[in-house]
Amino acid sequence: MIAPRLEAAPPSRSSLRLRTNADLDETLAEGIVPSGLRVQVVRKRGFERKFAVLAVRFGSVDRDFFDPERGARVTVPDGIAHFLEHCLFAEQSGDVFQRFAALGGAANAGTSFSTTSYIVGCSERFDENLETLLDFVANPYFPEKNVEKEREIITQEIRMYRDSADWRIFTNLLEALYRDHPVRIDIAGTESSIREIDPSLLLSCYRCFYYPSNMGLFVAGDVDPRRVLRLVERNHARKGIGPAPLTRRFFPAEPPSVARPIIAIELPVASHKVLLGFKDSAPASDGPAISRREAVTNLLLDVCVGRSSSAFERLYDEGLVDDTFSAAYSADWGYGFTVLGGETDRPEALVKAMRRHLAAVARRGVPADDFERIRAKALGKFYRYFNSPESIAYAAMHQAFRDTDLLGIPRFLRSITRDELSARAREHFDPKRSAVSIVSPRRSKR
Amino acid sequence: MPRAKAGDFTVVPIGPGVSLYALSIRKFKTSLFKVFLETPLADPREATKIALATQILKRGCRRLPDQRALARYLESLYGASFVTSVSKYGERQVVSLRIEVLAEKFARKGESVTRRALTLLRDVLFEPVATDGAFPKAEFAQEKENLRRQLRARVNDKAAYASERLVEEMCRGEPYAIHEHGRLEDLDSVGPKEAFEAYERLARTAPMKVFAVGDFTPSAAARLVGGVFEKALARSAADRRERFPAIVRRRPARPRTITERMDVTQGKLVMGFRTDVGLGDRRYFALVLANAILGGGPSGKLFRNVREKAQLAYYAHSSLERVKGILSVHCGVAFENFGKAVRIVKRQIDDMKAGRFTASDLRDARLALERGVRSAQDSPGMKVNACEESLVGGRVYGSREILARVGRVRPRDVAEAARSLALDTTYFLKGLGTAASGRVAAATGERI
Repeated sequence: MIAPRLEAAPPSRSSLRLRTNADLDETLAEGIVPSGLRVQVVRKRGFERKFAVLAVRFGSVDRDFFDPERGARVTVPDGIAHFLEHCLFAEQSGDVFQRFAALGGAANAGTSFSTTSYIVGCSERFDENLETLLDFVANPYFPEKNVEKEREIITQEIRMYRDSADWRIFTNLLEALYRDHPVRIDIAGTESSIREIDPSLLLSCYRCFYYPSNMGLFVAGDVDPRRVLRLVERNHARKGIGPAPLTRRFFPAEPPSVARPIIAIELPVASHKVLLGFKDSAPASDGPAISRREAVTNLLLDVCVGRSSSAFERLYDEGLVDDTFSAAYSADWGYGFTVLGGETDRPEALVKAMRRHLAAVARRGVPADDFERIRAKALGKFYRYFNSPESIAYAAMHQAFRDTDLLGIPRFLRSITRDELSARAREHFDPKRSAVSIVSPRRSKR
Repeated sequence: MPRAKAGDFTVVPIGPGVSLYALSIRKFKTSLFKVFLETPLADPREATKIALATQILKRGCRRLPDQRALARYLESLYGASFVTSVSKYGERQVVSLRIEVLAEKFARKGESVTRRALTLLRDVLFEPVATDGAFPKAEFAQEKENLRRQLRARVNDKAAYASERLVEEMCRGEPYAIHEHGRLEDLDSVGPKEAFEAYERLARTAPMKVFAVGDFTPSAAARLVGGVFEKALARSAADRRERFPAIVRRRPARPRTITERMDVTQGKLVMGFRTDVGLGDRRYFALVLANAILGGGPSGKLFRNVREKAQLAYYAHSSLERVKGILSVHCGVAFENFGKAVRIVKRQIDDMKAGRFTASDLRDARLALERGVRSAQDSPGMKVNACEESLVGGRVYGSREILARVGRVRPRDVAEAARSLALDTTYFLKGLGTAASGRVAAATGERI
């Protein structure tokens, strides 16, 4: 249990700020409670489902940090953020899944490179489900027996992912692209790295990262934003949460060159699959810059190799790609990379063709009519997020952690220029910062 | 005039032998239209022809004769999404064409995005790319390769592959064993002309259901859809009467075990149980609850006993195929623990049959189901698919009726429904060890 360090903050009323996008017909309410937790609520009148994401800015890349309580810089075993996520579900009274089930809530969690998210979806008793979510995440209970049990379960999970060609090809690509940055490490760690994890390490990570101003709560559904904010205020006031620890994270300076130009493995799969990746030469300067780069790069990829591009048509007609082909850029604080590829009978030919085409775009720039059409499509797709409380909550989290405004996305998309895309192509599609990952069918003896 | 209903959907005839199933909802940003064409699963080669034909549909239509033109047109409709697919509902092969487009109120005035989306749907459905009564040679050859790769790729998702293998073995000789995408070995012999003829027959004569969900009344939707589809339907068969054989329901004589080896790190266990309880049976909701108590999620008996208590599996859950009448249990388990996992699963099933579950088990399952019904109100796609499945299964329930009937199920009803379950086949997918890759029959006196 976290010992309270200060007197519980006196109950106060945090102010709620409302922003509306009239074209979208949506309103986002935001407030920060005294404990430091940022809360965002998008009310979806008439929707049955209510969805809450409680997210922590702690992920698999956060392995090297200054622990203020120990007064020392530590490096933690690979996979600990994910391990902690598993272990947090244990409670003194049993397992919190049962508690949610009794309230009709479906709970789940996930760990990514930079974030751990705890989610609950329900159609009734939202207040109680939300209280339960806030309570269990605030309760670090890591008895030895439970840690051992989760170690077994995670071992099974690691093995399951080892059999997944899609997972292996992706993690291999990151290993090839990145020399030092911890984004190259598997999120769940390895069977041997998780053997080094014990209750005291879990508690250290918890203390260093699980504090309100390093977290965010994102809610979507037919709920009253004011009620949600009051509920969180009261819940946190009861807990007597102390000041934020002075945790400092360290990241290696990733050199511009790649670790290996290619990683190729064999698995019991039916056909070849290939991914071509490009890494950013330098991280974006701040949150809004990350968002902008993400939007620009994804628009650029859609123009280059999307379903309506002449490149995709050519590759498809030559039999080099099929419907499994995709391209996407993702980024967070400190790293960003593009991944494109899919299943193919001729991996080397596909890589060559992709490289050639991207180099051509880098030289010639982006055609105007393609750009306008793709941008209109992106706007349409953005509207569609708002059909789902789950999508809204995740999108809100995504933008909030970059200090950007979810409802400002349409205006933001309209501000992007064709020249920006062309400049990005020149900068990003640099062969010196690219690598290839291939998975091929295992050659059997029969 | 009161309209016929199918669950929450209002049914309006829009042409000879074709009805529109409409649901009026204002809260979404998009409108959804989906067409289903149904044919009996009778012959793997016929199924392959239809699967191949469905692949070609996404290549466009007569007025937008290539993928790129189609993609550009969709982008101009605010990134409308258009998906064609083939699925298995009960023992029917069902081809579907689905378009989801920005709701008219969010588009600019006069753009008629809804009418344009429906027109595209109609054009692909009734006038796919074809020349002289056959699919174009080059495109057909490409899609054949794509389907071949897709069929081969089934082996990549080990859990899904194990589930499919269970069905193939358990239902050998029944239409249900035929995969909705057909068979690899039939691909080579199917040509562009016969695939086109099979598709044409389907489009003209097969039972067709059209679904519409969005901010419009059923009458307005029927007028719009009926207007767009009118000429095409008039050219089709006057009667698309349903002539489907009854679903094969077999009681297993003696449970069989099948073992297969593949280069995997984690073993897959799938166990198939038969039930004679269908959608119209008085025990139906009790069976659905029994499945939820057993393996519906982290609060289910399978998760608690196979994963949490015994730490044998990373995942352990069950699923109910309600039209065919099969309940299957799925676990990802280390090879050496198969026997133990099977024993634990059998014990959970026996517990269900004997009524050995708690009031809170039943309450949690009921809540999960209620949440599912309520959640579906937020997903037009889910409601459409659930209605189609129910129509194939012979009985559609509206949301209010489902909630009411789920609420009335008592513990003894759940036990009674569980007693309809009979173990048919157990399938193990294990690692190679020292054996070469391939299928190896297990011991314990069964035939493969």
